[in-house]
Amino acid sequence: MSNAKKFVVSHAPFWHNGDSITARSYHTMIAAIPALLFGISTYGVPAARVIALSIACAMLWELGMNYINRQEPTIANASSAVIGLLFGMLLPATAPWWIVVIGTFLAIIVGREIFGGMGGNPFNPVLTAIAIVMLSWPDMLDYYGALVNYNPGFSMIYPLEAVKFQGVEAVSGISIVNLLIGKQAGGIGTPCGIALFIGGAYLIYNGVIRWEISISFIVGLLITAHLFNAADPAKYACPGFHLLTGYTLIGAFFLATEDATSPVNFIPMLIYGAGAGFLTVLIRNIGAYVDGVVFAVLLMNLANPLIDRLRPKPLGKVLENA
Amino acid sequence: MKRSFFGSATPAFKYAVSPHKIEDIPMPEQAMLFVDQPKNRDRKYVIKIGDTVKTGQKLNVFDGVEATTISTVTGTVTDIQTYRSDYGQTYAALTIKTVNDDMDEAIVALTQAPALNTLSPYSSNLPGAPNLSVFEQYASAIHTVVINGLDDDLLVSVNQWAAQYLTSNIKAGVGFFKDIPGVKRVILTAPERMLSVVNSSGAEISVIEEIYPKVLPAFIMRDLLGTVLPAGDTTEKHGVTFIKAEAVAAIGQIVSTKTLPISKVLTVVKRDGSCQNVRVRMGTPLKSVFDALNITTQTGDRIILGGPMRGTAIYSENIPVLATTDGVTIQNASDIPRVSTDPCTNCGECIRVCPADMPVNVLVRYLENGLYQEAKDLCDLLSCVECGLCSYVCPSKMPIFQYIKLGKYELSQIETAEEQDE
Ligand code: SF4
Ligand code: SF4
Repeated sequence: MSNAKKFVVSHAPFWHNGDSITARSYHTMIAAIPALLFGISTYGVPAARVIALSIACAMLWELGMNYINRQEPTIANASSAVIGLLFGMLLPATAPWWIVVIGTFLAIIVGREIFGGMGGNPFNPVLTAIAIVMLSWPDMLDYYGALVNYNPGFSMIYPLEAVKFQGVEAVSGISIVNLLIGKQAGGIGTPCGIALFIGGAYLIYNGVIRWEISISFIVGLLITAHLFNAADPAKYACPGFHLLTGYTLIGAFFLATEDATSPVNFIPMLIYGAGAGFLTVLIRNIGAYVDGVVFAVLLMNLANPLIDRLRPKPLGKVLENA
Repeated sequence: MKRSFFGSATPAFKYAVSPHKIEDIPMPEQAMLFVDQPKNRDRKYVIKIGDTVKTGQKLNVFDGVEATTISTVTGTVTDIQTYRSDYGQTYAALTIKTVNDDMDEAIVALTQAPALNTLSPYSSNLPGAPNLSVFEQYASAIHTVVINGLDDDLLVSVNQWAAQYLTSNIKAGVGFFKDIPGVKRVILTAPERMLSVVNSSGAEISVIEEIYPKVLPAFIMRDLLGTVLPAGDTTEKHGVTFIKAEAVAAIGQIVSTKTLPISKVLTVVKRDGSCQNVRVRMGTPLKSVFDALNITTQTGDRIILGGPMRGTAIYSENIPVLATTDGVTIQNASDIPRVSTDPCTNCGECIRVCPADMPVNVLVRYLENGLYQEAKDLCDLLSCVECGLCSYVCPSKMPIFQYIKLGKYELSQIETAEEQDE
């Protein structure tokens, strides 16, 4: 059956909803804009410099890896740009250039590519990188010291650190409203609660992240913080404080929700989110670290494959020996 | 049916409403008949170029293989070729130069006194290709016949059309099934809006939700009959058989008018997405259908047998309308979604959409690596109802559905090989 016309043959289905990885990456970047604008307006050019360098380095590392692997360049899907962006947002504006270069290397290569690239990483790349940086160069994430030269017009303290070492008394001067609008020290993209809420809502509305994880993370965190607070109000801060300080909100909307390292089934998503929230407060209140989000989420990443086995029974599954 | 860049709403797929209007496609000058090729290599053709065939005549094509295919036209064989279809299926394709119909006597006799045992060897030739042999195979164990008043893919509306506009034939067909020994229930499934027309069919009516893929047998079994079909089982094993409304109407036509149905309804989905139902002689090449409708095709288009979710893309427009062909879809090159080599990012969209609650994100990892047995044992591959929704939503544009079909096919091959070894 010879035929001069060549038709395109492929497998069903012949429609697609048009969603793509690239679109999801762009959505994530758009969602980060409010927090980013806040960071840049507070810290000025140095903040912009860190973010730009971080994005560029992340993409270059991926390109380099594509080259070594003799793959078609995959950076066009912007997934490494997102990693770079988020990594930059966690850093203080004063971060030196080499920490950005090393950090993005850790995120892209160590955190992701050696596990087979996108979708194959067992741990959130951004958090892997920030955890290693935290352990290797603890000074780099000391927002207090790093930002001491700034005078943005509000008291520049890093609330989690203050509360950890000096008790609730030390932060009694900071109102929740001030935290919400970002009047606190922190990473470039982490202090402004309002901006992160807007970004999170945007991501949820567009279906880029799984809302179950964000919501259960926040609920888990609030409940645990409330229990601590009820037990000893002088020592442990109130739930609202935990919600609006440190990496909580960026964690809830941008980090814990990373696709490859979080569950996809409903009940597992709730367990995962709530577990991360619980661990966050646990680490903050009685652990060795000032902020618990990084390790809490990494721990839940570790548990993810196990949790995600709790899946619904597929249609017509016959239980053996039943 | 695209997801827009902004907004979260995933559209729920509803079925297209069948238009009443139907256009008759004239008899083609050249028809083509497909006959299953036996799998063994030493097959010998007993038909040759120049032979004449009559309408309704059994097509003896291969030596020692009992013919089950009948000709739907009268004419002379002008060419014999092999057509390769998906998953290793091959057909002998006979090109027939057609003349005016001359009915084969044997078939005329058959239609005069139709009965289950005489019709069943031929049933696969009737529009909608009902499988009547299951009633003999399961010797009166089939207690329920479900007539599908909706089609198994979107946009296609052949069965809808038959259920709505071939009411007297449907009624006669329902009567035929009711008389089959062992059959206790004949159920016609239809959406709410069709109730007034189907009520008089004589069958028990079940209202179904008009949302894809709720009409696939596994869901009808669960939602209407309250039986969860164990993965991998046929419905017949559980006493239920599914028949398309068009097939019921075809049987009804034999019963009530004593004539052989040789034309069938076909939904043509045009480039702009508009649908038209046509009545066409089985064996008409798609090209002739397109010509009659003033549709021109060109390199780079995609031609799909069936609908957008479950159809099969074909590489030639010369292949004919078969008894099983319900729809043909033409897509512009520019409307064809790109495929990609991106890996699964574990985004979970497929999990949300899968109506069979499959662990698609894990399954796809096994299938990608050819671990079919593991896919079946650990990820319930056989539970998949083959709706295609997972591929439809996958942001990585992974060919999940293709992997699934391939996996099922490979497993069935392994099983057949094992059976032969025993
Ligand atoms: S085709 Fe995909 S969405 Fe449909 S049942 Fe199978 S796995 Fe689920
Ligand atoms: S929709 Fe595609 S990318 Fe997302 S989890 Fe399923 S297979 Fe993976």
